[in-house]
Amino acid sequence: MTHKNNNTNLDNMLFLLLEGGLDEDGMQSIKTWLSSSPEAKKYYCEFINDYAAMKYHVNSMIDTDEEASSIASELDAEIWSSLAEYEKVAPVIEVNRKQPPPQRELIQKVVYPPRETRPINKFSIIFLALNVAAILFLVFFLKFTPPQKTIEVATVSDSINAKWDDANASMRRGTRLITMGNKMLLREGLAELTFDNHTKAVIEAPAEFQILADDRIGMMYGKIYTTVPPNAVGFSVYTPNAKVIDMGTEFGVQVDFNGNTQLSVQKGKIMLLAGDVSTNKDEVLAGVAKRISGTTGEISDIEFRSDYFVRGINSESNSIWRGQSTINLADIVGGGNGLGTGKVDMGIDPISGTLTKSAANNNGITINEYRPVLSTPFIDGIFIPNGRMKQIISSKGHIFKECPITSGDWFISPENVMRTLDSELTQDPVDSGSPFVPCIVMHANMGITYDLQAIRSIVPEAKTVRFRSKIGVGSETDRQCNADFWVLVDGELRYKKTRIIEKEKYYSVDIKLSENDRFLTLVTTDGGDLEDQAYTSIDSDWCRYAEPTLILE
Amino acid sequence: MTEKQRHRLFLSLYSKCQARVYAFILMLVHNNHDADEIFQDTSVLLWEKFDQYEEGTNFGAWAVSIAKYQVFGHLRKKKKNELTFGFDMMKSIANIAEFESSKIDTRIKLLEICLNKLDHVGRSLLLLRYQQNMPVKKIAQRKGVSSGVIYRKLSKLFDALRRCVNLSVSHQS
Repeated sequence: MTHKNNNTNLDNMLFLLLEGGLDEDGMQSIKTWLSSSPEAKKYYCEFINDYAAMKYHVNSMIDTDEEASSIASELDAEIWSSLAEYEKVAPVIEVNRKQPPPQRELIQKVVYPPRETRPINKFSIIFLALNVAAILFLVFFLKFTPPQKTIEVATVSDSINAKWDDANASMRRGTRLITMGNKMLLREGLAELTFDNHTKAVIEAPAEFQILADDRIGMMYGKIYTTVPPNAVGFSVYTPNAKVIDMGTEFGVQVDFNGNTQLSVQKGKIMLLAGDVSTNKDEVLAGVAKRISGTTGEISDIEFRSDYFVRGINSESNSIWRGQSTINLADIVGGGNGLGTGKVDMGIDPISGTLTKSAANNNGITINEYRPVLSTPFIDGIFIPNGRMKQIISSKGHIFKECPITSGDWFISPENVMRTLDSELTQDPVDSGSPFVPCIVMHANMGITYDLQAIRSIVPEAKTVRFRSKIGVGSETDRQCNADFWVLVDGELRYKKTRIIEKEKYYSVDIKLSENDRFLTLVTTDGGDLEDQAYTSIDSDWCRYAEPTLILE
Repeated sequence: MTEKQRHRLFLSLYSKCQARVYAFILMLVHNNHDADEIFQDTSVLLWEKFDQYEEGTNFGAWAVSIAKYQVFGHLRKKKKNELTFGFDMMKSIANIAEFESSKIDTRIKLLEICLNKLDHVGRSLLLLRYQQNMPVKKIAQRKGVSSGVIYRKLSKLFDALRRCVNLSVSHQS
């Protein structure tokens, strides 16, 4: 391998490439350079070979280096002060965008030391030890678990993009699973298993597992999240080096290919038995995560991450729930499922009821007909509110009795957008974490009805308990606004704010919901303005529902 | 051969060449995240296909050939504009990578010596990044420095290690 100081820029670019920090121009430079000669490709491979060697070796130090335990928590202040000092004098990593690095400097003959037959290196020993644990795990099952009849105890209740191994290729929703059957390998995607005792387990690929009993599952590797109902307390997950016993809880277990186990307890508590069960056990409470070393069986604390495991899936809405505590209603207007799959700047055409990008009103005044929205199951319908006639606001015929008489005019389709809220002007201070927040821009006159029942299917494990939002009129124009906001649940008026004439002044809406509530309707109207020759009744009524959120529990 | 014996044989063979397999994958996908994912899939696949391995032949070469199949399968799933270098370039690199990756054991041995020469700050940062697998952005956020500082420091550490390894090679030769 060659190394020359004047190749620093090239090396920096290659390093950033591997770390995922290289910009487009840098990528292009590398591509051009690589195309230039076989020597460039050889240098590229040598560089990455060393990077892989470093990464691999440092990774293998995990249980052998005393420093590891101290590093697991934090680097000390000394390190960071030295880094800060370093930043002051560090050279900028420059991306050579115009000229690829000279190739000739890379062409050097290097004499490598003769290859040697090396004994198993440190990493290999660790790897071997870890996987012997995996073997013993399999043996353990056969030897120590009581003989079971192969009885059906669980069902594949759902899956998203699941690809199974050949032996289980026909597995699909509704397939019954037996105890002590073949090991199952989920190559890709997600699968939800429901045991007959109503325990739910979500498996994330790649994963290999085996159902051991009606209250027991063995994980060779992969991720599993289990939700255990009170009647099934005692449900257990076996891994190569641990046994996790439920004590009324929700928990996730991950087994990596090297035999290490991670455990995160979301609710309740579990009993963890690791390695030598007589001495190495721990009761783990909610909000705590543990790692069980594949080599020593030692239990150590690790950072708890509430979003680390997929906790629920729904193939009908293509929803993957990682424990988010909110549903973003703006995301749903953008065609999403409220968990971030929607598109910004997309909305609903109030005439056709379909997803659209910036549909404008070209037809003047519209009748107040309620139109079903078929392009998303989470929105029941859409309408241009006008109390001149009976205003229907749901597919079940709910009526907006308090609906004011409006011009029946509308300007643009409601859309999922990201906007800044001018917090200095707000009545209720807005938390200024990020300058942009999700909003539904609902220029008056407009009404949308969400189907809460359909939305609940996104996260069946959680309850929708509140609707929260901020309402106000944006400053898209410099003319006077005058608009009203209305929020209804199953046709019952739960919130109103009329005649808002000041822009960028936001008000909080917080409405309690019950599990029986079916429809949530958000409405904006024109404040009763009259049409005149200069301006329409809806002029400058750029109404926003900012951060419109369903709160889950 | 019993299942247990097969398992042991597989592990003893694979433990000697998994660094090579990982390096080979990384050379083709040049992205930590993708490489980790493909490596894991490849490890599973190797065990599944272990029946097809002819005992006594070069296991490392066999494993790399399986990894190559996995990588190109992964690349084929990507859209054309998501491929940084294109298929032809990747095929060309794959031929070199097969050979270069076979040198990794020697490099690791020398690297181990060189790592011991790093100061505490350097070793700690490497452990945090590559053992704890903490993203650069998160390291930077936690400590209130820019990501660029962390990238530069890591790059400099890696550079120092490579120089040390190369020096060792030249001394040996």
